[in-house]
Amino acid sequence: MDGQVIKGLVAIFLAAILTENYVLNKFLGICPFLGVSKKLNTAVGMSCAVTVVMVIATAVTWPLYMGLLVPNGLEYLQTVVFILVIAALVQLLETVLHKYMPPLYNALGIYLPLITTNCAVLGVTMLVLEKAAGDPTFGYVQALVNAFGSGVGFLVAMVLFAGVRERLEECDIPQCLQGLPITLVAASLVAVSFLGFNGLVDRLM
Amino acid sequence: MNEEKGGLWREFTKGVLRENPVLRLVLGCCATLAVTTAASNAIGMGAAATFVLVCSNAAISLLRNVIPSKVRIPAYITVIAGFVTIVQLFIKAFSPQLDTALGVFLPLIVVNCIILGRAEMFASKNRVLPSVVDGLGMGVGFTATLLAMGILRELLGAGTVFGLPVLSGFMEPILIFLLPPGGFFVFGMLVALAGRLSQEKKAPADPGCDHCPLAASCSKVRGEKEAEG
Amino acid sequence: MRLSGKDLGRPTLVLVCICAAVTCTLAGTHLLTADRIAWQQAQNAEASRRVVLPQAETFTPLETGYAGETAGETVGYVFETTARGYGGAVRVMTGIDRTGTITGVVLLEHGETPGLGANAERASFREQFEQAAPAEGLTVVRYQAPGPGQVEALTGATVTSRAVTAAVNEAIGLYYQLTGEGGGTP
Repeated sequence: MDGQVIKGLVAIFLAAILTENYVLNKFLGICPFLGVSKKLNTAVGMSCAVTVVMVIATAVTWPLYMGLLVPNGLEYLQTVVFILVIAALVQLLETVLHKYMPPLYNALGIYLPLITTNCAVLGVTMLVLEKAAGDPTFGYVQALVNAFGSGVGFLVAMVLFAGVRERLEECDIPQCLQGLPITLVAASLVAVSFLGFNGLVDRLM
Repeated sequence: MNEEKGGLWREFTKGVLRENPVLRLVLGCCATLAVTTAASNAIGMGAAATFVLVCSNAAISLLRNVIPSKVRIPAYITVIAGFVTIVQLFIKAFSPQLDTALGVFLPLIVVNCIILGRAEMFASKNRVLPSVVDGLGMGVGFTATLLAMGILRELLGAGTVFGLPVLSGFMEPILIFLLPPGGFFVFGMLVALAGRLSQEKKAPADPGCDHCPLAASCSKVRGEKEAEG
Repeated sequence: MRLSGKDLGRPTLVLVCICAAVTCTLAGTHLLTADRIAWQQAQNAEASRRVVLPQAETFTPLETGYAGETAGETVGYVFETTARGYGGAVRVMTGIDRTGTITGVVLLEHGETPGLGANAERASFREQFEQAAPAEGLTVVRYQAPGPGQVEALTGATVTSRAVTAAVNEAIGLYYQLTGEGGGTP
């Protein structure tokens, strides 16, 4: 039984990174994906900040939704409550990091204000609830693992894409495609590579 | 009077053409890529976002002198989230099919950068009427772009437009246009085309922080912190 | 940055007022639309039940599903089951008549990829299920013509095909559980 649960968690984690990749499969968090993936170190910093916020946001919104909104029949307040909780959390995290952990703040803190409106964070808190609705074995722990996996998936996509873009810098690109268009075409090709993982989920589940 | 009308007309058309939110300002990419697998979804998404945009622009413009600048982002987000939920409830009540098709992207209109971006850049500085017109123009521009992408992807990827078979027998649909890579590719091509047709004759550069609606508050936060330390 | 009472008070007050106003508006909208949403969902469910069990005129709720009746006589059962697909839960409604034949399968909700898994909505895939329901369940086959008790997977969407089949099999299980209890094996 325990082994089964752990196997399930590993499957959720891998699926969140490879087949349900937030950026390349679900189109969540495209703005930072295009915006801060130019250099490898900013890409890593941003992704780590996103991962941390995703896990904390899920850890807070899940009990709020299950314990407070559902018993009182207030599911329709979900959007308002979640976005405010995320905004408050991000602000709190920034203040705490700034005060107590300046090195970490310098590495991650500068990305935090941008994360409030990152749709990947709000997306993960809502999608885990959707998953839980369709699968009774999907509980709090599974939701946290899913959130963490989604963050790592974001990191993987960002790092891969930063590598691709660094090579693009040296390329001779037709004038009409320079700038954003070629970046999007490159993203398209990276997304093709992630399509290759589709068969994997077959064996995982 | 006439001049004012011309001004309003310009506010409207700038959103559709010169400052098209998606193709020129590079805002709201997530929804653009995600829901454009069918032309009908594109219209539904565009209409919902336009409604939220117009209402939130009006509300924020009305409240612009009341909201202290320190809490303006949370205040804007709350107002926007309220309108998004209203739209969501009405869509659930009158078109459950659309609700299923748009899925999580309907509540995610809250974090669509177009809406927060226009609140921050326009509605918080302008009177109600221009703000409403600006919201309407941006909404129409957004819808038009979504529709163009939706038609292209549905036509090439499934051989249909609005569910009606168009390409049947003429050519095999190219499935990849419906999948995520096709979304990125079609979007890239549209941005290139819009860039070519624009006055500057080039596509926007890579979106950095200056495209983000939070950039102002973000660098301000950092500036304050630096001044303090 | 020093915080005086005035600095803290006004922003907090404004924010609280906005939150309260938004919540009240939403509560109002919810009251307005709640009945309509419930009615809409009931309508959809009723319409789907008619599709999967066309010979029934009325439906009575049971513990595990619905019994379809015509002129007071039970002609079949309808079950709603869920399985995990590629893009999340796949909700399926299955109709099985008294002779143990599947009369229809409908996808109520899914998040499958458009162009691949979402093709499971197509009639050509769903109609494969309309056959005698084996007690041990249907199986999915690939790259070959399906025989009795088999369903051919959609190209490039094996996970979705398996999910739909698993949900239908669960419905078959519920059916035999129900009819088994009703006295005598079918």
